[in-house]
Amino acid sequence: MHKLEHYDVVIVGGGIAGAIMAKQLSHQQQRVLVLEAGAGDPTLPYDSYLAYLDEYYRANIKVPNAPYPDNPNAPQPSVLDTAPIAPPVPNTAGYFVQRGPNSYGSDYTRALGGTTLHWLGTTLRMLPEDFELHSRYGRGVDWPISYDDLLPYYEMAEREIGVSADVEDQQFLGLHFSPGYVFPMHKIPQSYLDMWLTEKLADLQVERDGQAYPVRVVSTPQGRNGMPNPAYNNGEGYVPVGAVGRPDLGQRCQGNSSCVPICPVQAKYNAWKTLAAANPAYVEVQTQCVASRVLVDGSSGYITGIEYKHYDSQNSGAYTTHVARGTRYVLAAHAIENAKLLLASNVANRSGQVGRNLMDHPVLLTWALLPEATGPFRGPGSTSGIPSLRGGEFRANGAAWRVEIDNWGWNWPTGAPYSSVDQLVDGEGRYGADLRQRLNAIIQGQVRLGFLVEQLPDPFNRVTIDPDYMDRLGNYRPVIDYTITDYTSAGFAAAKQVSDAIYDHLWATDYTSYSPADAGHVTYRGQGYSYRGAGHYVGTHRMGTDPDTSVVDPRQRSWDHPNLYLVGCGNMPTIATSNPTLTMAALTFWAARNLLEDIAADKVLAGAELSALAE
Amino acid sequence: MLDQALKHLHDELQKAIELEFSTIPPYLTAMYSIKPGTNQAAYDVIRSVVMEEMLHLTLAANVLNAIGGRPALNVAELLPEYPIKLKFTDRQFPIGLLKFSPEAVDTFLKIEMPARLIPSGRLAGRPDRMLLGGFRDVDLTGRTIGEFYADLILALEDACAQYGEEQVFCGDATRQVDTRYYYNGGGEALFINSLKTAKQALGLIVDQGEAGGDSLSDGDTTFGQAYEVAHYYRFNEIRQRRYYAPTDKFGDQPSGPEMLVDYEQVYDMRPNPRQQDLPAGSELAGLMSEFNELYSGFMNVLHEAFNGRPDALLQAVTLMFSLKYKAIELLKNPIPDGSGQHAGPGFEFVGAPVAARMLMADGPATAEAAPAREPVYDSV
Repeated sequence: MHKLEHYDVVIVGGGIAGAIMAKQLSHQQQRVLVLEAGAGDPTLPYDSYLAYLDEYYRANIKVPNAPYPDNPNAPQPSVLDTAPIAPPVPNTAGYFVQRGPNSYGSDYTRALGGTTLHWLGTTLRMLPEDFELHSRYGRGVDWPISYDDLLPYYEMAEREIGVSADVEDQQFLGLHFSPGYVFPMHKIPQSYLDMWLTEKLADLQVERDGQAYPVRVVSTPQGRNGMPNPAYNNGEGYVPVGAVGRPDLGQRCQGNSSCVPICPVQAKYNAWKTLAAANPAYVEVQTQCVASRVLVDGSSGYITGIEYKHYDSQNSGAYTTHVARGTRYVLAAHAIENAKLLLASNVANRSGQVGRNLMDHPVLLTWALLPEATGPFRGPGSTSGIPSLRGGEFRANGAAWRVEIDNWGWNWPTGAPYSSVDQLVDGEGRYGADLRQRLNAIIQGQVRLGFLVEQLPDPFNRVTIDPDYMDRLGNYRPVIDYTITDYTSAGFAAAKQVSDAIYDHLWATDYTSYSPADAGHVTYRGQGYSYRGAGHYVGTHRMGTDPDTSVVDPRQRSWDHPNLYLVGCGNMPTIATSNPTLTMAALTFWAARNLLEDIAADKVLAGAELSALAE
Repeated sequence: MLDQALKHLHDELQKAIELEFSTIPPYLTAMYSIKPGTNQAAYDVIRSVVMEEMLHLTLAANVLNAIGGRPALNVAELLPEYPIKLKFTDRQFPIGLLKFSPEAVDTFLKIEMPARLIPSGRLAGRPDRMLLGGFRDVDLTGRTIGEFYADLILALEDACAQYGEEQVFCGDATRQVDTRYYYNGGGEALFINSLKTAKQALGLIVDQGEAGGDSLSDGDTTFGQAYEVAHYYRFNEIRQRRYYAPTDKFGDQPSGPEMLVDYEQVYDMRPNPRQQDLPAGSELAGLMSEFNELYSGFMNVLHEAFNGRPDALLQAVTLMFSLKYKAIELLKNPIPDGSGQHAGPGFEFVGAPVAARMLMADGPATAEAAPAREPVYDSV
């Protein structure tokens, strides 16, 4: 299957983390093999992207994975598989075995490019206080590195992804930037709704734990192409990266409004762009290769190979088994897949933390009709948010959240505008001019907020493996235990109160409704709240300063195996309130730097040995 | 006499703008007449040329602004009424709005014909006049578009030599449309403030259109673009149903991989669609009038963009989407006269910028959404 007997580095996973690793290492002349479990043509032809687009157009239900067909040899979770769980009976409807008691509501994509194929493209940095949650508020754990440690790597990630944002807008709650720093591109123009809300909410204050906070609407940094900032990189500027194989397409976001599940022109970043920028002379990508075991030398602790199953066709479970060998190894397969693979191999788990501390951002949606038309269903999914309550003293008692302001009306909670048409035609028997008028009246005022609520690391929220649950190739299916704790529910309650205050202030009619029949539903202090998944899998192989309580060291290297690095959101000790991709990408640049440092150190060592021999 | 020299240059550059613009509606019409999901390669070829024509238009306007001129794009007399006639001294041919067809491709080949492909016997004698029918008469010296620009560069050089570069490049820098507002794979919108940058811009127009030396390439690899041959050769690829190989030389027919072309998978549009040819009061006539209003609004926005409000190009993107949808709607529908032929976009300038006013007053800041179920995903 793979071409060389030995590589400098074998990388498992062809998503953004694996791609950044491959790019960074290949440009330092390291021979790299990337093993991707899912499908995808390693030459990244433009036509294969169009095939995803066709799949999306054909799909009846446009969920995030709609363009990326399920592949029984590398199965992926779908949001359509979630349902309320009645323990001890698990929900085994999809790829996950969900033991609950609460439903984990997120999906991811197993295909070359990973979940960046369908992400929204939100690229927020974490707050400085997010790195010190325990010392500041007595909750969760601290990170072994600080915001300032990560700052140069944030800048690398923002270049790689191509982030559009204005520094002036982003300086809040202690967020700071290198002197003179600007983002590669100016902020994406805010929507009419954003502007409208900015004005209407300017004088609104809300309370949490007795303290007043402003409700400030701020543009959101995004990994989609906007106007290049000529001041970027000390006046060098930035050239937006267009579609892979068709660089003339996608140089600016055109507002096609289908970012999730697929940007038709690739104005939104996806990991193909990074793979395409790797040094092709040094990178070999093999797809349809599912890593099944990490091989380890028992005495030295060194990793000696990755065993993987290669399948020729998604239509058959036939496969052949191979072993890829290299000097070093990087697992970049996803927080769930990395943990699964480590557990299946009994590797890197001296701490017993592998698979534990699984987090997400349970998203509390609220939706309402505004008293005037604000033009929803245009532009990228979200161009602004309300970050003013991302941090504060209240975090000692309840979860913080960020508010995402959505540009696509009630699309997420109700399936609008399609469902609105169904309702008016089938439900109310309307037609003709009356139908059009009513539809316009309903659609034009739709507003939807999303509160992305933080979770704390909890050892009992975890992914495990169980020989009773295997996929078609005989690999483990993830078994998920998941509980929404009171800390997070307190965040829901505060979120709903703030949402009420906002809608009151706007003279909006609140249509939010939560039902115990919803897949994700909790009751807290007598009130029911329904949440959805954000796709933010975090924490399953966290970094730390102590090998007994963490899986990787601050340099992102396995405590137990000196030639093994783990990358991806699994390394993050806490989730805080930012969408994790940018932070994960920054950590991956940091990991790549450290791995290259290891290689250089080995060379020095080898040089010393040689000169010793010569003497 | 500086005034006279500048006036002459302004007139010439205004003609360049009109010339570049006049090719765009015929290209767009052919593209939009292709049924979705078919003739992808041909569609891509035409689209790539359109994008470069739009760049040429922008570059010509930037040069005109750089020497203190005022580009005009919303004056009925300056805009084409199809079919127009492209008249060179030694040859002439009509340019119409045609569906994607061998005739349309042949016309495109004629428009983009490089000088050295014109039979040598006909090169003798100084041609002195080129006329675009339908417009007011336009004097363009030269046999080809390339030669027209070569003369323009000479005139710029002369003026600079005689009166000094600063006197000639006296335009207001804020009128330049730069990469913030103009972008596409066609190349970079250059900021023009000197003879050197003006020559770069006009040179780029010629190179992309005709290619130089023995190469078929447009020589533009600055942006990591794939190997791309100049316009004439790209259209020849469609006609020959085969791509050029990087090893092909001037005079060769393409020898690369085959290109699938199916002229059946095209809406059978009646040539040169016009408002007056549609039954008054019919739904199609209504659509056409909406299209023409949108088009006129679009021209008004373009005019503004090239006259000190470059950010108006952001609205132009929205309008391009609307124009495209409206054109496709027209193309999908047969004219109710039993002919079986379909309607199409008229590109008739009606002056009143109603649509533009509406969109600019009420429109949200971001570009208009594409309907999620329609496989139309790019503004061009």
